[in-house]
Amino acid sequence: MTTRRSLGEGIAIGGFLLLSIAFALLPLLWALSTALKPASVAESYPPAWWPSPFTFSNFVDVLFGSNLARYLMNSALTATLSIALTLFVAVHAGYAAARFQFAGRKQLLFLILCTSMIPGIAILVPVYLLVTSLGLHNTFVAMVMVYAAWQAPTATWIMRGFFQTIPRELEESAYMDGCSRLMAFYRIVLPLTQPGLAAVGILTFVYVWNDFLIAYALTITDDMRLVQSGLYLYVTAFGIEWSKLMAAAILAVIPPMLTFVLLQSRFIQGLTKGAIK
Amino acid sequence: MLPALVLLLLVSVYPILYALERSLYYTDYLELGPFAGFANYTEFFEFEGGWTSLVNSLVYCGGSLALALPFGMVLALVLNRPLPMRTAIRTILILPWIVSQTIVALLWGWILNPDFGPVPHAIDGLTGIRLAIYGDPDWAMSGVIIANVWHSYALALVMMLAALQAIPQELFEAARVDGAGRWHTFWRITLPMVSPTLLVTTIVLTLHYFNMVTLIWVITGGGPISATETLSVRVFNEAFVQQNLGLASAIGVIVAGLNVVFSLAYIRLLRQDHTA
Repeated sequence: MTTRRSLGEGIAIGGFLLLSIAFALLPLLWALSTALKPASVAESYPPAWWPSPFTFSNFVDVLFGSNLARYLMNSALTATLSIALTLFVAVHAGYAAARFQFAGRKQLLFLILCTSMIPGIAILVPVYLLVTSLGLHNTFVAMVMVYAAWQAPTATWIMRGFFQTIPRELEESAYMDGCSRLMAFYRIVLPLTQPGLAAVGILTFVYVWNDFLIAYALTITDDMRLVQSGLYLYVTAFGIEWSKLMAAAILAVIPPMLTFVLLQSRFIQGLTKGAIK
Repeated sequence: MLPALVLLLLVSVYPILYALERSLYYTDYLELGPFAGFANYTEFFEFEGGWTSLVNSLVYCGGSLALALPFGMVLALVLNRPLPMRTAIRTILILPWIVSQTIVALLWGWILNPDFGPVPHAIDGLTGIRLAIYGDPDWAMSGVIIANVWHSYALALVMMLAALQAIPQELFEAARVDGAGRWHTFWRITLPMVSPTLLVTTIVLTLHYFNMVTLIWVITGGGPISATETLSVRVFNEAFVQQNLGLASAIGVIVAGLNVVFSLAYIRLLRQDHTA
């Protein structure tokens, strides 16, 4: 833009941005600093920003001397399975919604959109009762089902959008070449929607990784805990040792942060579309 | 389409009907007791502090919205202009949104820790008072709102930035040719162009805040003496702490009902947006 910008205005904007960046970053840096301090230094008054003396032992201790590694593995497994189930459901439903003409299609799509607006907390109790009565309490199967179901509506809408951008002629020419409908779908259409698959995958990964409520409500034994509920129970079970807790929190925050920094544009696509739940 | 429907019916539609049914009975943990009619609802508001929870929800939503929305909007306006290192700055500003609510809660509990935290230390230095923010019923709500604003302003930033970037540049050029000043341009072009997104963002944030449990619950558990217990936190406490599943279902239905009100407004606005 060519609008003239005065010096004073530049300083005001720069100052505002600096303050905002400090607001965003200082809490994270405080966590990092705490994690790099020995317990005796972390829990002393007045607090010091710079970790001195400096140690990595908190990270080593929580990774090898606690159940954190187990929680991280459980979360990775649950997230992977949830992504697979969400994609399986959303890809087929999204394609049907984009291509097939059938009675009640509009109403069905609207119903799917509506379910994505049912707040998780309002159905957490019945989901808990349902899972318990099916004998699936404290299993990965139950968590994966619930995560996938709660992600599927948004995912279906995202995938439908991507299928609509693919020209029908592509499939029609594949049928001419003797492809069946399913073969054309898996071989030709699906590979073209890779950005959509990635957006849904990232959205589901961060959702599952960061969820506390479902994992807390649906598991009971320590070996089944996912990372967020594991972190919380770590606090209540052993009292708080802040330097170790912050080290564990930083390890838990690395996977979604890396995903975000490396795949930012896809991430933001998912963020603006999947912001409801 | 069929597997999607089965999954949705099983895990979203059936539970809400189940919650409705359960909310009409007295319960003894997993056991269904005698039919209660609307007693769970009326008792919630008459004897169980229902109004306090509702007011807490409104204060939490209103306070968070009043801070996060303008902050995110102004940041979006700043980031929509040419800036050195714009992408890096945007990345940093979005980071708090990626941190899970559990970790946001633990992190702010530590920052505001009265014994070792830097913020109480600074307040102590200025006023001579050592404040236990999350332990004080007068301050706890402000404390959870600040943590929530830190976590969620980025959502407003991202949505508003997308809307600003979608405004055709010709509009600004035309305004400049016509000799419109910058203030004038903002009120007459920028604001009307982004106002649909602004409304949608407001409602998305409101719903998000209204249904939020984890962040508040991990910091304060709804305390001290229910000072931060919103309706949603109340559902969780009744269900998984008090194990009073009938009452929890009833409050859950109330939460869902209020969501419908917000959602209808949301769909209405989206429709208007498409037809306009």
